[in-house]
Amino acid sequence: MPLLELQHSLIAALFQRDQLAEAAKFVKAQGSLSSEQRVGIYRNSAHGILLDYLESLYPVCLELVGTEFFGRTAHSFIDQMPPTRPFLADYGADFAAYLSAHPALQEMLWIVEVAKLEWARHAAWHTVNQVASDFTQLETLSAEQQAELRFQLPASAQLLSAHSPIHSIWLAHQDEYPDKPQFDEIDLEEAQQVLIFREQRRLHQTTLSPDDWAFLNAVQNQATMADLAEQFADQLPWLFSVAMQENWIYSFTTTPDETKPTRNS
Amino acid sequence: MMQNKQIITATLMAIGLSAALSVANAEDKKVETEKCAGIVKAGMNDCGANGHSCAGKAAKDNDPAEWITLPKGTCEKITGGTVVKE
Amino acid sequence: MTPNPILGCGIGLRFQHIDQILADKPPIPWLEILSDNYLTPGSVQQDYAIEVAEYYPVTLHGVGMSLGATEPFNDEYFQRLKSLADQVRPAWISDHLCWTAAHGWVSHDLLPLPYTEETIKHVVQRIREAQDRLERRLVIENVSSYLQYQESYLSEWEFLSAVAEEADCKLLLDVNNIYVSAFNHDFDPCKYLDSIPIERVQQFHLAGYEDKGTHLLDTHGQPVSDPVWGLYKLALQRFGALPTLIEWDNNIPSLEELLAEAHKATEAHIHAFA
Ligand SMILES: [Fe+2]
Repeated sequence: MPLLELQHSLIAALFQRDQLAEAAKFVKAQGSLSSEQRVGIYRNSAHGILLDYLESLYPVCLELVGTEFFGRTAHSFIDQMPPTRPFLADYGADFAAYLSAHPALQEMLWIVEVAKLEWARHAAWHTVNQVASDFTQLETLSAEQQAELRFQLPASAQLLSAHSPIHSIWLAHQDEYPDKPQFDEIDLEEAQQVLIFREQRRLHQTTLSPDDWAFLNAVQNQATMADLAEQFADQLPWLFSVAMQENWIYSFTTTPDETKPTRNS
Repeated sequence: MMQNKQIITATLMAIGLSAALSVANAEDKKVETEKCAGIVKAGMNDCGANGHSCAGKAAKDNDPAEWITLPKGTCEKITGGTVVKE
Repeated sequence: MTPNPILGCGIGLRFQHIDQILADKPPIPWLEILSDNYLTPGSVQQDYAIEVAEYYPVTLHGVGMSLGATEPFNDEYFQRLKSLADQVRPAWISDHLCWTAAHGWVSHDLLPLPYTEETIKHVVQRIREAQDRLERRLVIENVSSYLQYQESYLSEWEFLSAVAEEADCKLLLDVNNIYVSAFNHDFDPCKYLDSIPIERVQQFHLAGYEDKGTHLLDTHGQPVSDPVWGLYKLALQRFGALPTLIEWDNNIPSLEELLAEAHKATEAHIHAFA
């Protein structure tokens, strides 16, 4: 079917510069623009739309590496990994991995970790808010049921462990926070664990202590109450108190959970 | 095992207490949470990525041959302007 | 089902304005929601769209249906769109007479079709299928274009009119897109308007283009240009004072500025028949 052939050729040219001439064969030359230049308008436009979107998705990375570097890297990312789904919000998850292979960033892999943080924020905005459980119902359970209890973080929760202080770096680039850290004063070697989650129309981003981080990871990995008691011993009541007060734990289930939620990381 | 049972009991009490508190002071807690729990952004203005539109764009599609690969943003301070060749 | 009354001149809902719109509830005749930005089930974006639709009449306007493509429709796209429509109850759903996906890739940009009898047959069957999937009649918009295919032998207005008649769908005439394409392909935009069947047209779009010297680019980044206002007046005289919407997507102005632009369209409604 000729339409199929034409569309294959055109879309190939959008994401592969060396296909421009091939696609141009389907196109009329008119006025002062050659057929190849006309296909080029579409290549520029498609790239421009995706570049704009990636810039809005990774604003701190953009500031860190500068517009020019970001633009060129994004253009080659777009050519190598064109969108495959009609949902724009799904696009760009691989950008951090792409950055991590960039020769110029090998000494600055903390930028890659910041990119992962920015994606986690985006993903959290795009995740459903599950219904919170009524925790006062826990009292009514039998001892066996209590031991088998599992808990859930907000569905939007993203637990990030970074070798660099991604939360501080991110914060240093937020203009609206008056007592933000100065970028120059940040020790880039400091590791940070970060939790991001959405609560209705609010996005929370916070650093976690190693204990809280280990606890929330165990919870997210579907540890039962008995497992948690084993792992955290007499720390457990306190860990739970903090997590409950901060709304890090949203719901519980009494039956063993077969469907482990899949998470973007 | 005995010890675990005690931990579970104590934990359930802690959970029950937190749950009761959160019902009682839902509003106070919000303010408190914001102060202590790191960064909170709220509202559509803050939710990051731009969306779609049906408008065209005029990006400049530079020739890869002239590409340089040097970060020039905040990073420049850190790299001291080291040029990395691809 | 009682559709929301879409009357007068509205604006496209943009992220930047949502908080303000929900806080102040300014008088806006209606809002067009760009469906593709609200398709993630349970996302904060969808949550906002649903609230906006509680206070304003809305339509859904999409860019991702890919009506002119040759690969099968994306089932998930239709499911998500349908679920969004169930929640915001739009007066109608529109998308473009173009294609956006091929070869497993998605352009996220509106790509033109070759204007031939064969393409008409193909697109008509696709629009019918989309209408069946959504259980409603679609409204189809003409796109701006920067190229014409070798194999095209019909004019865009012949193509658009034939598709609308045979698919039995409605039309969203983007007056700016007509002007942009007329300039780029050197045809008479008035002739275009005069050839479109009057009863098919449901809505107008207005937007601003950018003059790139060699061609006009439909960037939606500035006020509607004078010649487009002129063409809009002719469209009003031919098709009547149909619902009109201002699209603004780059260099997005304040809500007040955007509403002022919509007000200009309302004034054109009054003066077109004076
Ligand atoms: Fe339009």
